[in-house]
Amino acid sequence: MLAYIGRRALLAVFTVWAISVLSFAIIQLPPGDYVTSYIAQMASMGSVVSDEEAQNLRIQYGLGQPIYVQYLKWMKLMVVGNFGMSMEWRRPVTEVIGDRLWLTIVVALASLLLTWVLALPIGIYSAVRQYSPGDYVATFIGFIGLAVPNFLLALVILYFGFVFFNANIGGLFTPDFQDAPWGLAKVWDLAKHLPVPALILGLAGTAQQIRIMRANLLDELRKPYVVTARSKGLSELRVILKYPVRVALNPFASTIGYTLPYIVSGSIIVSLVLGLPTVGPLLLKALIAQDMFLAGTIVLLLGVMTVIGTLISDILLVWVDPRIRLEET
Amino acid sequence: MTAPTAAAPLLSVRNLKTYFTQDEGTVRAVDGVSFDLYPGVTLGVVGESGCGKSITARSILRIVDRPGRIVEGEIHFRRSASNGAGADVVDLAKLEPNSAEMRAIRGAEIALIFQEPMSSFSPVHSVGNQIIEAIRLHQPVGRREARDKTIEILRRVGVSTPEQRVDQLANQLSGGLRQRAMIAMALSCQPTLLIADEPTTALDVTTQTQILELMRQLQQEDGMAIMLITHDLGVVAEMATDVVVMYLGRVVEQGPVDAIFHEPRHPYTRALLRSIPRIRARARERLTPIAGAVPHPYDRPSGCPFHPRCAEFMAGRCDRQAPVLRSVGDRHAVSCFLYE
Amino acid sequence: MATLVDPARAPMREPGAVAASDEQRVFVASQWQLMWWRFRKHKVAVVSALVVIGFYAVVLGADFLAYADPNASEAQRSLMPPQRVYLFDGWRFAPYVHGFKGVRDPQSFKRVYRSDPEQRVRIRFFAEGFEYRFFGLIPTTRHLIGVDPGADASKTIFLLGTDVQGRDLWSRLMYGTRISLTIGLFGVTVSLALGVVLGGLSGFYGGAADTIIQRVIEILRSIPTIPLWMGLAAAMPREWTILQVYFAITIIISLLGWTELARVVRGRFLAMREEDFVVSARLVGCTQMRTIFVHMVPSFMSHIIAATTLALPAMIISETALSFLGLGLRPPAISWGVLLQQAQNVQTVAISPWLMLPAVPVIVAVMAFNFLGDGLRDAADPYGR
Repeated sequence: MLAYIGRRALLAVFTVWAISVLSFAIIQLPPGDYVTSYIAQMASMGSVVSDEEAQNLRIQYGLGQPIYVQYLKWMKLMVVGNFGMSMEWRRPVTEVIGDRLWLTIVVALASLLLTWVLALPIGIYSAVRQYSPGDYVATFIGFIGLAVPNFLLALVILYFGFVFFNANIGGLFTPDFQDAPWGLAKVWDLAKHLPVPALILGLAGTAQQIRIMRANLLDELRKPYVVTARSKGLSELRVILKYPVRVALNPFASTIGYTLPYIVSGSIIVSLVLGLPTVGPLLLKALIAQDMFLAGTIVLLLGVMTVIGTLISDILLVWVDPRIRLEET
Repeated sequence: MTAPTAAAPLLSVRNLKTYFTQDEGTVRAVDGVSFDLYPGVTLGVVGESGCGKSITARSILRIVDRPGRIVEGEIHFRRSASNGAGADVVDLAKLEPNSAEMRAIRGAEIALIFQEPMSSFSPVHSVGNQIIEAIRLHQPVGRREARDKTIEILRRVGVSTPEQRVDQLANQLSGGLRQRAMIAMALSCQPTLLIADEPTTALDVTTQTQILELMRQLQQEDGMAIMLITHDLGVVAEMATDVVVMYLGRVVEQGPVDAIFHEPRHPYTRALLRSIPRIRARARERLTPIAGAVPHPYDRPSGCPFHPRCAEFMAGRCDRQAPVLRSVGDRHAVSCFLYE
Repeated sequence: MATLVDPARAPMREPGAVAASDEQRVFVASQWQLMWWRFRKHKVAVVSALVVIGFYAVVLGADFLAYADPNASEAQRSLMPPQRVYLFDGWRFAPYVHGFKGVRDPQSFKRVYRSDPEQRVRIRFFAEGFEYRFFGLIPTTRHLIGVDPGADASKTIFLLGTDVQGRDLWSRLMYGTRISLTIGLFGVTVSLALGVVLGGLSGFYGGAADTIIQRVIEILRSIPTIPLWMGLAAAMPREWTILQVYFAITIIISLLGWTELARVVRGRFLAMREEDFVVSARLVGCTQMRTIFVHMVPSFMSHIIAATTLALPAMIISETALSFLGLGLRPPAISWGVLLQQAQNVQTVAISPWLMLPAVPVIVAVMAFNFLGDGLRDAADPYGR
């Protein structure tokens, strides 16, 4: 079991490295070097960057040296927490991102949780009561979830909320709480606003998980050990929940790891449409303004967050499936 | 192979009909089956694949999968006095499959072992866990005591080092051990009736002998009745006291094992016995299969179900009406117009 | 249902004579025939196939189906709602719409156009309109619908309303379909190539190649794609032409999207490696290339087709999403995503909800491809459940 976790952790490290390279590529892609743009930006606002300062910046970022040196310098800076300066906001990137990253995590986790909570019972019901009306309804909702891109769904829901209820369902806080310091009241306000974005983000994932659970369970329900359980005199509910569901849960649990990147991904655009104070809108603005350090850092942090989340889900999977504990996957 | 001593049967099936209704048609898997099973006796149920033997067993236990259901018939079962209820007879066909009463009988008074040792245990729970569950479901014992009982019963069925085996997963046991564990689980609550559905078909011949021997021994020790379902006539000859021969959901002949083997009456029984390869046959002697093939479930022949393949088919009679079981000797009955 | 048996022929019939003809048909049918029969049984999949064909018909005939120049903007026609089409003029079947009248808005003093019930503009079929080249070759001015000669279609019919710049939404939707659906095809082809090659290497050779490729796939799957796409798309030089942007976008999307196809291919190869027919091909002396291409590939062609069809919706959504954000295709290119850009804002949409209409073909196309892919996947295993 430890070997398994060790392998997953190693893979996670490699993934983070791959993401960092890609993020660095994003930072480097626009023409011109960072310092020149910085100086020009400063100049356009009337402040002057001294030659010495410019030179220091050049050394700090390794400009003029081979690309891998620049990359290493950047990594070194990041490890100590220096993510660079946002040109647009003229503040350190960490300040600009601030709470947003945490809120992104909260929304993503809420979606993930909702996905689990909805997909599992619905999937089980669909399989056990195959072809019943409930099954068809679940399948239909599933198809909506799969077919409608989440940002369009967000738009439509916003529209209906606006037109019919004259309410703005978007956002994560009521305006009063937006900039208020964190406290119990603010957390409660957040919780009240979470369901809509969580549902929109999680719907596609839920639909997919329902299909997986349903298919797995249908396979398992045909198997002889279910007959054995029934023949012992267990109640039907216990027969289903203790045996085939448990077995069907394994492949199901392993797919959770890949739902997280999807949810994080989707949250970017959905948060744009819904106006959530998460990292998404910030990223878009940064990209349009070619504020590359901000953009690259956001991409990197999102990636790292996702990888950590996936790793945690892998560890949970091991705990759920005793078969992995005994043998290598 | 003694004649039954108790006068009253343990299980009495009367005109059982289990149908599967689907879009394409209705499959009459069990179409009017009647037989009696006496305490302490082994009843062999014989027939080709698809003749309804397994569905009969599942119908008795009320675990037939949807869309199958019992549409007619009675299954009278004599409950044992020690199990809370008095020693009265209950009609299992009238009980709800998931009702408390049916579930108290299932597993505790009637137990099932079946063919697939490979996959009849849950792959994610230990063997002991599953046996302990059966024990605690029907008996008021604590976990420790249940575990001890489990180890005991595993030892009794011949599983070596039961203290370790009890915590192992099913796929860590060999086929023969798994079947023994299944028997242990079935016996854990001392049932009066054990239904064994092709228990040795998936095992190699040596293991087969061992399992059959074990079953015989346990029957002698506990006095339980066994309903042994198989397509293997050799197993029937060795184990059964009485035999029921089934074809396409009907009983075509039933009687004591000697009568069936030495004086078979029904053409199907005769053809079955003729088709067994003999070790003393001459070299290059042809085998005698039964002509024709089992009809498609949706395409049942009219009248007697066997008539398209019957060597003694009587036109005008056998394809018009279906014969019923009639006695032709001491507890020997046949369902054929030849004997009416 | 009873079978009446001819007494003269019973009971010495040969075993297995029953239903021979039906079974024979099944045994000698080719793989594709079997697949087609199974596919036909899925009504939903068949309908979806028709829908998809319909979409690609639009792709081919976009010019014909549009009636207004998609780029002809007219500020005064800005944000007109969809017009009601009246089918009957009295008793005759003579579809028409109401014309427009210019009035001076009392509040802003600007000249705006309002629907004028007095004017009736007949809709004509196969009418004349703006010039284009049919299939890029034949210059013509015929369109599916148009208006009475003398009137200008771009100024009078707005089946689906107009956008902020006064451009007809229906015509733009027709052209948008063309780009949105073909980007998907191109991207899927790239993904397919990558997926088949890498998945095949992985599955067929196993060992180190397999491990490495598997790890790469896992890494790619763990990365949230949209932030990366956004980053890469934004990093493209502004000077590039629309065509260059188009191809670059598809390549970016496919570079991350090939993993699913690779997994399918790898799975198939792994399953087939141990099949008897492959082993016997090798034993007979076939070279590896021959074994792969002549023996193994036909077996999983159907699975590949199914997986490819299922990969298309993802491409379409990706392009739509990127263009919606303004990072993908940009005007004057027209795609569903570009059309939806105008609907980013709830306030705008609340006043002009028809701007959300381009979402409908996106949803329909995605659903159709998904159902079609599901149907193909089910049909791909003719001997399976």
